[in-house]
Amino acid sequence: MGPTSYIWDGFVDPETFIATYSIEIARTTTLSSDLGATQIPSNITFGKSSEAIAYYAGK
Amino acid sequence: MSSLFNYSYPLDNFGFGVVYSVDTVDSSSYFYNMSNSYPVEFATNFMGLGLPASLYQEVISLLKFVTNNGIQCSNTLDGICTHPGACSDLSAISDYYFMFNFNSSEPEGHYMRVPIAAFATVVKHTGGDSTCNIWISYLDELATQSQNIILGGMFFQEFFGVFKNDYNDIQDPTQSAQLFVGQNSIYNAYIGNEILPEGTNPFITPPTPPPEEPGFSVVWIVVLSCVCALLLGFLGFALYRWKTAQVANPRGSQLVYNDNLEKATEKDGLIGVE
Repeated sequence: MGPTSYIWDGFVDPETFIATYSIEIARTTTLSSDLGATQIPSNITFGKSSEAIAYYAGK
Repeated sequence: MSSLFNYSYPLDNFGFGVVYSVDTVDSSSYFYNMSNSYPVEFATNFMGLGLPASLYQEVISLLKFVTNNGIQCSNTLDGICTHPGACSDLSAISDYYFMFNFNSSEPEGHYMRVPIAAFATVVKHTGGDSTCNIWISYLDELATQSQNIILGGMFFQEFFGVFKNDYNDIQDPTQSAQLFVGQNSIYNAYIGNEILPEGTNPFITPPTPPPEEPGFSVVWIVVLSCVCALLLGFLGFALYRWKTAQVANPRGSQLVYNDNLEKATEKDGLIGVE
């Protein structure tokens, strides 16, 4: 996840030279459930994640 | 918070401990600060929590203590901890947390509590038995990437991370990170600056109460018991003596003395004996 990885080449803003990404990963199982996936979606964003940041900052 | 040159994030301290709650409200806590501290690295290609060997040993010894040696932890490379049975059988899973106090946290004084449950998974076996895997992994400190505490993909099931790479200095790009409790957090993860009163230290064996001094009543019970035993012994001895006297002269009660015999013969008209 370091910035020297080539994966970020396509996500750098050409004006600010900044790449922003955010990560939240789906939970596949819970300790109290044997039913498998809990239908919680992953929340992975590249580039603009201002909406997600605003959401969490407001919590 | 800003990263170090190698894109890891330094800690002021790293702790392991318990949060006590009353009616689901946190009431007190006790955290043991580890003697060894390493920077934190975020890596989604890693499963759970990676700890350099010396730190792993510290954490495991505490974890074993609070589970009464209920878990087994491997000291080999990438070894993890397992518990025979369901994770729900292990109360430490829901009570214990790792505390990360980042060096450059903003606002200052904010810290992060990561529940152990965030790194636990249940494995069902064909016979119906379960194993609880706790993905706290042993890292070889000789490997370059194992000089850090690694927070892997399971961390991001409880937390939401925002990373910003700055390439304005292309020779020396920098990185900063923001962490939030995830929208789907279910294990009481926490980021904030709440200060809880210190609770009971769970990492020491509670002192055993000293044996009670024999009280007044106990002494009297002992004395009365002795007296009763003596009385019973005396009665037994007297009974024995009476029985032995009877056995030595079994017909004694049928003896007829001379006086009685004379009176009997006179009365019954029998011939007396000279």
